[in-house]
Amino acid sequence: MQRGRRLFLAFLSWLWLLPLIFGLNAAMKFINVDLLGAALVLFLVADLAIPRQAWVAKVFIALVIIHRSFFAGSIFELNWLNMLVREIAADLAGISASDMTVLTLTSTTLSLLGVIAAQTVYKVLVRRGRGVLVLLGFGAALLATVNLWAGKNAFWSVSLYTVLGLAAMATSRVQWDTFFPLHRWLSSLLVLVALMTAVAWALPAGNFLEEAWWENLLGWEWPGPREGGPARVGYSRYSEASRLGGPLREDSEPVLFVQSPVPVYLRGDYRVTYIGHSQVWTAAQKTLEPVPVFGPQHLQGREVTVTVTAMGEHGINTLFVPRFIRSLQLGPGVRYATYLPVAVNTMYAYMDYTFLTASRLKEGDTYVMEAVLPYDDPELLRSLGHAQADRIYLRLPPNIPNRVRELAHNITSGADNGYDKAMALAEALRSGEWQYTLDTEYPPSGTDFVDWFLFEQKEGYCVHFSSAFVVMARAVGLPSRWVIGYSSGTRQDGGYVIQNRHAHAWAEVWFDDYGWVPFEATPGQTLPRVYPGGSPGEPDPGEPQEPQEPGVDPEPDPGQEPATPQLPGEEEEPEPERAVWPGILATAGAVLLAVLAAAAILWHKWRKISVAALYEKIQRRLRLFGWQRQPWETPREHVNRVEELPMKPVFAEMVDSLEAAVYGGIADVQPPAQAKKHYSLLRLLWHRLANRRRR
Amino acid sequence: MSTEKIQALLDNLNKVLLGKARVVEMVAVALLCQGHVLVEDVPGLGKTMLVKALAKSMGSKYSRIQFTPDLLPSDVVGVTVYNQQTMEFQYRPGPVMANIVLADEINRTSPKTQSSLLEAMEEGQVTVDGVTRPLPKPFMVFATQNPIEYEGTFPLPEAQLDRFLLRLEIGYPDAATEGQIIRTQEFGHHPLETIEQVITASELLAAQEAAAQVKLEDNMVRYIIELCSRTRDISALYLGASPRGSLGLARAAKALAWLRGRQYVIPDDIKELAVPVLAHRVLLTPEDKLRGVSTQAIIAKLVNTVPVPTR
Repeated sequence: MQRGRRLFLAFLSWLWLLPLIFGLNAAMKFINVDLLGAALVLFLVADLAIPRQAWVAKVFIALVIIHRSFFAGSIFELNWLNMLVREIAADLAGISASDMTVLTLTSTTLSLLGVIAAQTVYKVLVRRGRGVLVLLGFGAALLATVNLWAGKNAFWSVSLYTVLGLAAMATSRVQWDTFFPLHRWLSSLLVLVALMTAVAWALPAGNFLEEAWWENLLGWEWPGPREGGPARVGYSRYSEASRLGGPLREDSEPVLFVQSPVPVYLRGDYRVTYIGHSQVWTAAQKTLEPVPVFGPQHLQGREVTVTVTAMGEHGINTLFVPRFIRSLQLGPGVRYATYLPVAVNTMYAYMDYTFLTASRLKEGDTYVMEAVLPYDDPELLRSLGHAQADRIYLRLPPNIPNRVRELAHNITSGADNGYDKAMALAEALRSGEWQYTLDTEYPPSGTDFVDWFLFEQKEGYCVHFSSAFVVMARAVGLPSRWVIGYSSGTRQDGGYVIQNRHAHAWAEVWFDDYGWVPFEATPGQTLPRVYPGGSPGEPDPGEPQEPQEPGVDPEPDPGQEPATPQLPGEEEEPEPERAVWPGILATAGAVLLAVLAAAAILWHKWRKISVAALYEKIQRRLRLFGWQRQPWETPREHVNRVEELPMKPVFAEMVDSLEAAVYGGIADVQPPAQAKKHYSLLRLLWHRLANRRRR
Repeated sequence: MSTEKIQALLDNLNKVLLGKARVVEMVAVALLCQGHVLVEDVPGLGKTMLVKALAKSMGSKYSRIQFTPDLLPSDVVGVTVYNQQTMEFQYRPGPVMANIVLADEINRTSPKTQSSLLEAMEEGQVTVDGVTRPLPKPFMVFATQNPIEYEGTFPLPEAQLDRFLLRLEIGYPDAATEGQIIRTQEFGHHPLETIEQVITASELLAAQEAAAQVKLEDNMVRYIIELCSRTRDISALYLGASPRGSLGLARAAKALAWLRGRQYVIPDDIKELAVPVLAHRVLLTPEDKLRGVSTQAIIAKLVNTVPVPTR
């Protein structure tokens, strides 16, 4: 009895929570969806494996996931637990201090524990058969409120959640002992999953449903041939979950065409939380800086208009923007994915937002920005402190090796202000001691990424250099963050063509009352700067120029192609097509399945079924609701006993024909025509729900 | 053969025995199966009236034997006396030589007298002084016994109990029916007086023949066997139902099905008849008897545990 019940409960508690969690997450962005998906699958396994104390296993799984995501080193050095608790406590204490932001670490931990609690409560409630309605109402209200608050359309999540909840309610008193067997559940589940997978594969790449909840679950793109070796540079097929720091290969697919009088670095996104392995940085913490953080008097700069046009077939879904923009106008067909809670004409508000579009940009899509390119006067910056920045910009994982901190302190020992310290770090990284190469190796498991780069591998590309910069800057007390975007591109046709290989990462350091100032730590790259009265785009004299590694062209003029090193033997091959065969096969499979399903439905509908077989079938359905005939009951006794049975006259008629066939030995008795219709599962379910409401 | 005549008979009986349609139906079942009925109930519930009405409706001969401790077998089956005029022994038929015999308070007489009924009931004949004489057809014994007076009674032996097809309890009427009974007899008339013959002996025999033709599928045979054989495994029972019990159940079920206008037996027929047919054929263990368990309750419980075949 217990296995089917267990599976069903576990599956339902899992499935039912999905729309709730994804709905909340879509509105609040509190947890990485991949991580959550993995956790939920593992929870399901735990539910099945150890049904009674599943929550213990789940807590353990959650801890392992948190450790893997946020901490380096062994899980058995329990010090990290201590750190975890301290961080969360500090973080929660910080919430009341009005900034209302939490670390991903905190939100992930709390959400996982919340999911465990919700699943446990749900199972208890279902077992008791009561209170599910309360849970349902509460969840739907929460979902709707949060989504409305975030300005999102909650219709799909709420209705899905409600439908699943009603299904759960209707089946909460299922007679489990006579329920149909486990293998039947498993096989139907497998067919469902296969069907959904095939459909997801067969779907065209563009997303036609804005922010559909299942996209995160199933809407992946075919990753292309695996044997291709190193991953490609670029954002057009950039995945949040991909591991960073491994070998890369150039990809010259053009992405953007930038019309601007001067070269600019275009920022896409930034990362705050350094984890030091796999993805190196976790998804951005969208922290709002104190507003206004600096006045216009600090923003002496050149105002330019920048027009960006999308190129190429693999569009991006982020609007890449210069450092400060006054306005952002979207061309036809381009829409924001997220609601902007701050008035869009406020310049300051733009500085810290990442602009995601509702769908990937198509070739020819444009957006126009009025940007300010600040002068970044070194004398002014030298006089500014770093006290206003949020604490999270100083955080480092607890197990960063000490030699990294020591190195940072050694490099900056000669400087007495933040700007000079940052410059010293950038200079040191560009000095040639660390080589630029795309042909890197992943750090061994359990090794910190920056430590591996600085002391072991000693070569890398922009990700390595900029990460090392941020880690060392934080080690010496400079609030800093890691920025990803595009470097200025290749000059062409009065603008700049940006290809995938121009994807770049750099760092920003916070200066009080001024804001974030970019620093370039990668050798061979130069940050374009402007000067009052000077020619725009000239290299910053304060920026170290000398360290150029052999074999890498220095960048003499920002107007020319930035020197992204070409590896010997590397050819600029045309972009391989998105793999077609899996799509075709999957489509064919889906069509075949659909045809089979349709045939099965038709066969089911038109075939002549003997009255005894129909009776048994209906009994199996009735069993779901506890309305079935008990073995010692005669069919008549059953009809008379079960008051809830819908359409009793029809059922009684069926019983009459059953008796004639089974006890009368009359061969060609046909069941009443309506019996099939009235006792379909859906009708019964509806009847049950309607009845329950009336009671 | 339709059930019209039998239905008319039932109507007659229902006029006399108000509010006891189920008992009346069971009586008809016994009649159709040529079975005998043991009515176990307190006096004054209308047993005699029922039997009289039955006899009158059939226009057949009715006799009543009041069993007393000093009753002799010859008082039941008849006696041969020497006729001095003809110089011959002459048989004087006893009250058993009738179509419907009401054996009142059968457990008051000695086992010897009780057993004189045995042959009559089972074989439809009596043997007096070595001469076997057939009983008239149809022949049906209605025995009553009084459950509350145990003193001075001789409980019927199992062998004899087994020969009754059904054991019925009439039970008290409800208040409304009792009021109706008073009203119908208020002016000294009994509804029995208005009853007329509705069925002839040959018609009854034809009905019995028709009822025996009702279809009993294999699954129902299995169900009957399962019910009876389970009585042999119940720990509270000292003695389970005999094959005569399953035979009786099958016959009675056929009759009930026919009576209800069906040409086949359904499990409901069998379930309904299980207690009247089986309860008196099983024996309780002494402990359970002392505990006050009734065989009716045990059989009623049993039918709610045996799975009903549905294919």
